[in-house]
Amino acid sequence: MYDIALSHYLIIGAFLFIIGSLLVLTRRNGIFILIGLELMINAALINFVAFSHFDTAKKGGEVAALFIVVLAVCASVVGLVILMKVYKQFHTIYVDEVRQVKE
Amino acid sequence: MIAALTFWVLALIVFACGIYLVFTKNMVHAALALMLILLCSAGLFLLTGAEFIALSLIVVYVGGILVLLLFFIFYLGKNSSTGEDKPFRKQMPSLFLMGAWLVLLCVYLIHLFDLHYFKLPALSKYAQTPTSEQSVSNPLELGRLIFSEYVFEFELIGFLLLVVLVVVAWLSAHLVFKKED
Repeated sequence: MYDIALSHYLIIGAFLFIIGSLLVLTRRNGIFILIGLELMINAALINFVAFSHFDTAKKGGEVAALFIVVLAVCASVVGLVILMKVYKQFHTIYVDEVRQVKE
Repeated sequence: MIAALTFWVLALIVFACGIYLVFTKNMVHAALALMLILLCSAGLFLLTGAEFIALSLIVVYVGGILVLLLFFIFYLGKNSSTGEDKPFRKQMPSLFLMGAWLVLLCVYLIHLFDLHYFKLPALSKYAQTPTSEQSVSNPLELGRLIFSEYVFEFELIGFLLLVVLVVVAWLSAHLVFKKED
């Protein structure tokens, strides 16, 4: 109970990933889908940092975590811009309502 | 002792906010729950000794992305969007599937790392907690790694940021899904 092993962190990561994929699977609201994506990326981040902490030889995991933060920023910014354009042209953010995406 | 207690409190908040996120319909509350989850994972990173990652997570995510998300939610207004989520009984299969997956993952992880059930030699070294002097992770060390070993990846990430900047500017001006009637 008192010493925190790697599997504790990995279980939190697994939980966050599953919550994120649940949001992506069940919701049709674009905002919730973006939140689910961010949760999944955050789960990967937790796994990287935990492995880097428990690996005594190399510290590459934290560098990878830093890069993952940048990648998550890129992904969510592009997603938000696309969602904003969808809202301006279809007047909804529910992705089921968007039927025709054509020129 | 204190570290373990902090870990369990942070983990409890993360679990509660995750469960809340699955069932809430309110977008603002969901964004705030996401903020709480991100803050708690920053706290977890502080516990593992990764201070720089924790601070950049707070600055970039909570200071940047979540403000953007909240701005967009407030821009939407209250009744300005039509549409519905799936009814709850249609969500049940994926809920059960993901719940079963979570239970399987947790059982697998606990057995793999703590009880040595599978007796994998390559992974069993991760089971014990490292001592504090082994986990060298200050910003200085991280910066040395980034600018020596991982400098190519660092440049690549910088170039990716530039590309995303240009793409976002282009998308916000020219992206058209359908012709205006």
